[in-house]
Amino acid sequence: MPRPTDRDGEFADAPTLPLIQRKRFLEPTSSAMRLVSSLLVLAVGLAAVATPARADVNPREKLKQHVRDVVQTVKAAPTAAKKRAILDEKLRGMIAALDRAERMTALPQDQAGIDALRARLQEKVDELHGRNGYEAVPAGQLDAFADYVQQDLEQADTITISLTTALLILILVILLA
Amino acid sequence: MPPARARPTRLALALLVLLLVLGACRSVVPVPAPDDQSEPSTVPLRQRLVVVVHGDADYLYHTPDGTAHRADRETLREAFAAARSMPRAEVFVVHQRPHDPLLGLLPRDDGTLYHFRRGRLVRRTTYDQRRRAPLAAEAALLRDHRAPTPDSALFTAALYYGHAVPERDRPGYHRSRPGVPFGVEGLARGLGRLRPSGPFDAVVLSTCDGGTPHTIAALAPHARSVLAAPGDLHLSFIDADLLSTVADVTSPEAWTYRLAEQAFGRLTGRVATAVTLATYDADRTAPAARRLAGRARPDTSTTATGARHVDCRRALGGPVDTAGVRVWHRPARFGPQADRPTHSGWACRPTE
Repeated sequence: MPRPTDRDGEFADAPTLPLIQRKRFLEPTSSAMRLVSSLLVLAVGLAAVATPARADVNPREKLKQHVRDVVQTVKAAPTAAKKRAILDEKLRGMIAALDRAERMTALPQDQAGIDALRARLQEKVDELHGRNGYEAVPAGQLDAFADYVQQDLEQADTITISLTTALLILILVILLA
Repeated sequence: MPPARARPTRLALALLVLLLVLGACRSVVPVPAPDDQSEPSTVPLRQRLVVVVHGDADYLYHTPDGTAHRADRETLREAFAAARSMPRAEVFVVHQRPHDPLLGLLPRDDGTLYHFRRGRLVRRTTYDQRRRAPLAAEAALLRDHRAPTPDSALFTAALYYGHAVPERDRPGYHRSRPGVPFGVEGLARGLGRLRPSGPFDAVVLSTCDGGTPHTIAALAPHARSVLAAPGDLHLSFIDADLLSTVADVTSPEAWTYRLAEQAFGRLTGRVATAVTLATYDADRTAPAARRLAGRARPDTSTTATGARHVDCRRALGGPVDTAGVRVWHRPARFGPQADRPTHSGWACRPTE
């Protein structure tokens, strides 16, 4: 037989306080208020101190970290063929993310930044495979090329993309990976 | 007993005050404490340097081993190291931090000044940047705290570390205050505020695209010699610790030349992207800079476009006046400009 419960779902057989005491318990007593206010003060204070830690991580930096991870993966790959394949896949993945982000967002101020970033990524795909006037990156220089990719993208500081679009690109990069 | 009841609330308030103070005083870099002043040196000063580190944007980069670095903090550490090892210099290091009101509401200082004299940190103070008047707050601090020795009796230099400064003042440069316009004209006005009695002996622009005709023309009235990068400059910048290697130099041209030479050596050893540095004799290059600026495609964009600057010879389709310009250039190991072994020292926006 199911044990009876009251209207609020509280276990009916639980020890109960006399009605007058229950009311008092539910009312904001001074000690409860002090406890709540102390916790609030602590939370607010911690939030104030912790703000920079959150601010240090933003989508633009996450994108840089993604490129860093790609470069380290390339360097760890055992053969030149694998290094080239990883670079190709990841660079194309970022271009695809930019294409999708462009279609999904309507921020005109980001168009120039998206175009510039896509052009930089495309020229690296072209050079990787020796297209559009580039000689293909030799097998023995793929690690150095990966460093170049990272440094060139990191120093492209004149490319401006809003946080919203950068976050969208980041999500798409992760989803398309 | 009312006093006993009130104690937790007081404790909570005290805790809040403590946390707010911690929040207000925090810094993004390890903060050196002022040095012991028991035996201050009296050796005559020889140099007065102002190092401005813009830290209100994205300055994350990675070294080839994957280690993350923040360019503004690295520069601060290097500048501190240099300042501590220069017994005959007065060095002001300015860190322009992001605008970050407490709880998003209460304004608080967003700049920190570190004042070194004769190798000792004598003052560390925070201030409000007042971005709409570039370097005005910093200039006021310099006026208040610098040693009595006049600028005219010293070698003076200003160094600016940051992202590419737009050729025309426009919004978006300061990440936390994107609505405040900033550009080369604003920077030039700021340099004038820092050194109102005459030009600096040297100005270093440790940014991308500093060596454009328009930029050099704008900075020329405020410097005798300028060191800048006519193209991209990797975020690891011109190492500020190299300042100690030119601590004995008081000739403007020799100071920028030696600094450029050593910075070039370091940069080419660690990056695969192009490294191009140039020094500009302000008097000799200013007329050519103005002429070139009239021929070059002006930067009228209202936002950053991400377009790479190129050698003005290529952009303008012919030779350019390079009198008074010294160039250090190593092309990128890869990319569209890898096959260009020389550089005129002048950077222009590419023609479309």
